Amino acid sequence: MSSLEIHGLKKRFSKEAGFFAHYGDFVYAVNDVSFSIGEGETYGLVGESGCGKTTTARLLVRMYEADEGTISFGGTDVRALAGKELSAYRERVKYVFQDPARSLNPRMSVADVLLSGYRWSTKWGGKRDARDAAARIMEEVGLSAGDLDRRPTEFSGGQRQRISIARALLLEPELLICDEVVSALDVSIQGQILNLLLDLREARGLSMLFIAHDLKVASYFCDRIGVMYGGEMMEEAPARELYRDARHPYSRLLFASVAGVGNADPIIAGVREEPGRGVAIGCPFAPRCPLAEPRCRASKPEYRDLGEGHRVRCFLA
Amino acid sequence: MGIASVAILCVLYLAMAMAEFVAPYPQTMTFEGKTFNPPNVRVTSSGIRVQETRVVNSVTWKYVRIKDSYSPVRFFAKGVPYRLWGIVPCDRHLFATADGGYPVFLMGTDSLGRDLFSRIVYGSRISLTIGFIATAIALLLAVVFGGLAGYFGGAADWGIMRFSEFFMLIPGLYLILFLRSLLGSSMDSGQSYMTITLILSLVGWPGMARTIRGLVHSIKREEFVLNARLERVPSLVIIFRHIIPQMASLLIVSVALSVPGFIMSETTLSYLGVGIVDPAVSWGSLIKRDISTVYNLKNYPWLLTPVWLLLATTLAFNFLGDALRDFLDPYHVVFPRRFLFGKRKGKVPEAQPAGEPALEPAASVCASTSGEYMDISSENFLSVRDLRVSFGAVRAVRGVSFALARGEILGIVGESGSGKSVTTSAIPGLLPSNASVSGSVNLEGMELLGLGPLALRAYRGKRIGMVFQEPGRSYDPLQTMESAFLETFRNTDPRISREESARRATALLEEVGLSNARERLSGFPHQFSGGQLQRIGIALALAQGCDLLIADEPTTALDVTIQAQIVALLREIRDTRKISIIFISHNIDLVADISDRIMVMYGGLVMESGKAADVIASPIHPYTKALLGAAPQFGSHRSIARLASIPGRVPDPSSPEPGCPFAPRCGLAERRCAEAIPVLRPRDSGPPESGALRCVLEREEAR
Repeated sequence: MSSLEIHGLKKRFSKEAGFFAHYGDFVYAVNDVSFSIGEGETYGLVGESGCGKTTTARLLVRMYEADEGTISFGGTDVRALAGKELSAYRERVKYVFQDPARSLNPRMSVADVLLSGYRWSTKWGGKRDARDAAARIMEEVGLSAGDLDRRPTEFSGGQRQRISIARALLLEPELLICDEVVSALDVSIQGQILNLLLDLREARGLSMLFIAHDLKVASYFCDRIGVMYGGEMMEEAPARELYRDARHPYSRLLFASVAGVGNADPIIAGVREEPGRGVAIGCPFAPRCPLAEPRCRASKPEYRDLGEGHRVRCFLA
Repeated sequence: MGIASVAILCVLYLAMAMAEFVAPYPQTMTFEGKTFNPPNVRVTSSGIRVQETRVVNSVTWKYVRIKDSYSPVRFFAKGVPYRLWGIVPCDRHLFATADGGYPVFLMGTDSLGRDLFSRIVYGSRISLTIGFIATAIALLLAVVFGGLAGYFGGAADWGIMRFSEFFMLIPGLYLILFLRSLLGSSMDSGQSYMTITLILSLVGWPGMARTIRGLVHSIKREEFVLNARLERVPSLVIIFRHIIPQMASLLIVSVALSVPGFIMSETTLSYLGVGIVDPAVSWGSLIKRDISTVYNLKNYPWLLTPVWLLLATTLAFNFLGDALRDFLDPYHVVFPRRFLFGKRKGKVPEAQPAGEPALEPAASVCASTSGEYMDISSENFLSVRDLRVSFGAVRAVRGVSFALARGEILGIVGESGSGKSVTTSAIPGLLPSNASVSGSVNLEGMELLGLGPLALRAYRGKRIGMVFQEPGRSYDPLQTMESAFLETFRNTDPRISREESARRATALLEEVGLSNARERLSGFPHQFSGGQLQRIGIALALAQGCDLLIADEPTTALDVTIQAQIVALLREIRDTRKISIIFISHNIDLVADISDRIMVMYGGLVMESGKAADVIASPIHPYTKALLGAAPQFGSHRSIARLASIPGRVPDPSSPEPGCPFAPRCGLAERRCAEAIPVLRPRDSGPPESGALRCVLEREEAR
């Protein structure tokens, strides 16, 4: 088992593309993000759409290439991997997508879906072996070996997400990246999948990167949580108490907005709705922040350690 | 149409495959002195006969029939020996006249006295296969090049597309004429067949390749392709194993539609004399220029038979293509498929399935419960009674009753398939035409169910406003907000001026909390964020002064911070305008936050309803409890407690349970729960406004 450490990760996308584009006009999807996931730890990334949490996860598996920063997994420099070493890395770090209806090829049988990647992996030991492994993993995620010959479309959303998880686990990864794995599911099914992930985590000692926009789910499921906004990490803290201890104005807003909390944090009233996008200097939340001072717009705050694993990136918190 | 086309094509292709057997004579067999013999098969009282004819003028080839000189037509008669498919020696033909009898000319003879029917049958071997072979070659090229270009993009895409454009630039006809003159006329029929096929497919592939490239380009962004790439599946395997099969339906259709195109091209070439030449024969060469002169066609009209056949084949392929497209892609059906589904509908008994009759007493209780609601709501603004909606066999809503007072917010909670959206779409009559609706929807004493579309227009928008889930999709992307408002205002006031409309729109936008309202009126939808668009959506719903607002998952597509703002806005509007709101969501916490009363739906039925605070604080129905317990709350952590997950899956509305829809997943279910749907009864022994409950268990038992 290895731990993942990323430092100063940046990814920019050109605003325009094509023949007549002005290259050099960039938007930062991920800007200076650093965190680490220890062995067996579950780290949560939360934030609203467009905050860069999915891009960060995709940089980790090299689906996109980072522009700056370091990613190290068990001491190896992930950004420098190529060829067989990259394949081996991707067997150790697996990605589970949000919507199983879209991430499982609808025209293949479940067995083909599970084994399509296995076939090209270093663990391939012949068809019969693979089929046995697939049958075992299906039992492990609560389906039966007999389901292998059915098609993904014959299953319900929750069962399909189980297949998705089975596919990722087949190569016995050390780190599982779960990108909004329960948000496409009905409430009554979400609990089943979360419990399944908990069991697997215990049984296999998995580390996880858990991406979610549902703060209640993230607070329940993770050990530590990083709150992202505008491509940057705003605050990082132990998951369980963050809903009470949030220090950054954005985190406070986020937690106070959750329905059914009845949290009357005065910060909600002052927040402007316009999204503060394209901020090259200063805190990305400053244009919306009711507490913002001139220095928030002029320079970026650094991480400040508040003790007990609580870090915040705000001048005022 | 599709089935008739398949039948025609089957007959044609069968005849083609058995050409030697079906044709009475070899294609080159000439009958001396029988040039331009008219068709001579007659149906007489004594069976099918061939009438003898005699030439009266050997210059114009005029024939007269000889009276009473018939030879019988025999089926499976002996004739010229041949080898079927080149292997089986045989001398039987489908039909012929006996030895020494007058030869049978089903479709007459041509200028050399050869039997036209036999020539058509032999000719079909080239005409009907050339389409398939050319399509197959073109498709292969298109899949390979289109697949590579679409998947790799960049330089590969550029190179392949320019290469294909080079082929598109070449006018096909000139290329063929050029190649023919280059290669000379020394080709035998086999060579010219191959040449023509190749030329046709070379000219035909770029169009298909461009379509496939576009599709591959969009499919490669799908998550299952990303997944395969992450798994390091080789690129070629991804293209041909993962991506191309997704387009199978489109490819089948495009094959069915391009085959006749190639057949026509071959015909054109042969007609011009640069295609198939004697002694080989195709349908095109049968209607060659020198044969189909006006004089010939006037005097020997049977020479046109190949044209009719060609027409039939082309039409048959087109109809088949259309039928396939409708079958594979049901969204484009022009005519509803009664033929296929009529039977299935018939199987569903019109009578209510077992367990459903038990609902009848329930319905009457519903009515009485809503009667009690009417006591609370002094005005009884909206009342829905025993609403049932089904789409064929899918029973989406199975008897829902509720009432809404003026100025009240009713929240409806449910998972996918619970019937919550169908229930509310039925109120303004927005259900698709295949829905069958029964029950009653009463708005201030006016029955809305059964109103015609014109009468309903007086309610939609004017009395009942709607706000939808995805604000990004509810607008015409090419319309400014100003013109969207103008259109809406014109609905009630056809002669409103632009200035007046802009003034009123500005006021509305300010009311929903949009800053700089006046300037932003000229903006297009893409210039607004999701939250702003949803505010504008609410303003548009209010524009005609509605007094009932139906908000169907209005915040689901929005971020949590924006969601809180929209919910606050809806509450504020209710207070200022005194309108009633029905708020639908799958998030029970959110619904509880905004609503006065909530209604929990499951499997098309109301499970529990009551004052929001009561239901959340002390739920009785096991489903409500499970729903509240399934989502983690702040402060709970996996290190303390596992989630109380609900086993099983959400119900399938096409095969509803005979009993309580939640019974299969309910930990407290008894035998009676699965047998009949429990009766809806008052939730508590307390005052009637405490709500309704559909569960056999008492409060104490359900604990």
